[in-house]
Amino acid sequence: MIFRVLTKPLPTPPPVLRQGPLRAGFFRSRLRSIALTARVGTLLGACLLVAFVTGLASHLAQHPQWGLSYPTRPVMLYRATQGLHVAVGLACIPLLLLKLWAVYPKLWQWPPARNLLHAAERSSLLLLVGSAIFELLTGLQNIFYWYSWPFFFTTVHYWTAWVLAGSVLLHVSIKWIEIKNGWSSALAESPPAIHADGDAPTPSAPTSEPTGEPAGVSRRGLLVGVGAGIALVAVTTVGETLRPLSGLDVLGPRRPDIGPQQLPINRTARAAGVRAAASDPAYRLAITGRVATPASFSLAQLQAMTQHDVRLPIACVEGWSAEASWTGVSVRGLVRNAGASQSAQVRVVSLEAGGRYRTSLLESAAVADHLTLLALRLNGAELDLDHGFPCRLIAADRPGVLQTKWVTALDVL
Amino acid sequence: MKQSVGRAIVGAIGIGFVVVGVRGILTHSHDTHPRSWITWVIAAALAHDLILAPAIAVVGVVVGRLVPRRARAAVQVGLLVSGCVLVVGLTAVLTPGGRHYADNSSLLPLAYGRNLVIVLAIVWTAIAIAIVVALRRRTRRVEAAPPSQDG
Repeated sequence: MIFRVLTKPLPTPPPVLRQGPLRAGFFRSRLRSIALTARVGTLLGACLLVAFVTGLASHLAQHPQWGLSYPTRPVMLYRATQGLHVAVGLACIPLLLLKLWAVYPKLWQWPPARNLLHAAERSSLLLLVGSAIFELLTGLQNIFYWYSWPFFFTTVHYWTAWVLAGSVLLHVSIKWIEIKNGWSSALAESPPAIHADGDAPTPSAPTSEPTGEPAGVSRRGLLVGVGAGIALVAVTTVGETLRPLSGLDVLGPRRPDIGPQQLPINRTARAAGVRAAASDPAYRLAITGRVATPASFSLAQLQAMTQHDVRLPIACVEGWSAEASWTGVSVRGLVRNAGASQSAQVRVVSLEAGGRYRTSLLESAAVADHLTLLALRLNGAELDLDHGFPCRLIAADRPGVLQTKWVTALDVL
Repeated sequence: MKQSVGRAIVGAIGIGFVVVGVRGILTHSHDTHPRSWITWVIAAALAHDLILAPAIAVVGVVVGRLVPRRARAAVQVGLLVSGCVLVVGLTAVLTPGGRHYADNSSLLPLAYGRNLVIVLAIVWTAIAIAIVVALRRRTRRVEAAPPSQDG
């Protein structure tokens, strides 16, 4: 019954309205075809899936939930998944534009809606296309620190990812037959290209150009061009996380060797408002919370403790990463000496007065990890103020914003 | 039949994900500013459909009219590659981020305008070489072929 209402034909609008791109045969590129659409769409879908899964992993690293948290080994895992997230996201931009180009004539199909179901399906595309462009655009702007919106990036990017993933699944479900037909038809040109629904383009009007010589790029050439563009973007940006390619990183927002002590930073001590507090000789590190004997140490006392050396990357959610040698005091040793339990969690507190990343949580697995340090030295020299002097957290597989700098307390939970 | 059940399940999961996402946007309104969010989502789609896509189409038509047939495919490939690079390169050049975080010299540390020009110059040099090589090969083929086969 409902189905009958939904599929009841709607009146066709008066033909006089059918102007401009709504006219039959307005779009004439012979490169468009369901074969192309299906292939580009599948590739885009696969890339979006990789971006979704790696993004979800990064979200879990920042907000452990559903009993899931990010693993602490291998130590290169977070830098790899987040580097992949950003690289794949950048690759999605040309793929999305190509996919939208391939189906663009359908935006102007006539009649605009055959029935209510068709109208609903077309309306859902607004959310699909809008959320896809939104995710890629905000991601691109974020890695280049271009905040032209009022919302908070990571929260919006995360929830919109669910909207996009859902819209893609719905789209695949609706278009399943077309996708199958597209894959079973050959990619090579076969005039005239006909879309499964919507208007078939008028059989190509006799052109003034002689036949026998292609009038431009072929369908394969189109894919080669976009593929080459994607590859070039990857080569000129991925060096921000893939050290061997850092010399080719000419368009990436970071270089892994540029920054104080040849290591990038996200926030300076000045921007964090901690210059005075961090340079104060009266600085103390407090061990507080659920411990048998709360303790407090000066910088000299921390320096006098057994020092450990670890080699770990700083890996930012923005996709850049850089490896460094860190020297400092074991967090596990500090809290166990104070009498914390074996399964304790630790809230790491910064000197910052406020802000979203003033504290970060070390789950019990990270507390117990012998690689988790309060670092006092970086690459053999005393920690720079901008890297978190007097001491900073460094642990395996944590987003950079959670590698808390200017640490003033370990609060055992 | 089996397949249509599978499709329906995938579609239902999709709708479920959308509901999760929209609910998340609404319940975290302090961070997400739902009104701005929906404005941005719709504006993003409209900006593509009504501005970017027509602009790309105009470029396509202009190339079809102005570029000689024999060079057209190479020029089109060059434009596709350049377009991909420009999306990222122009963001790097135009972002106010470097000025906004001026005390952080590790952030946006490169001369992006210059680098973008160099990358595009390399792309178009390669395209120009490809055109010249293709034209030469063609001329040689035409010269080598006996006239009788030419029609």
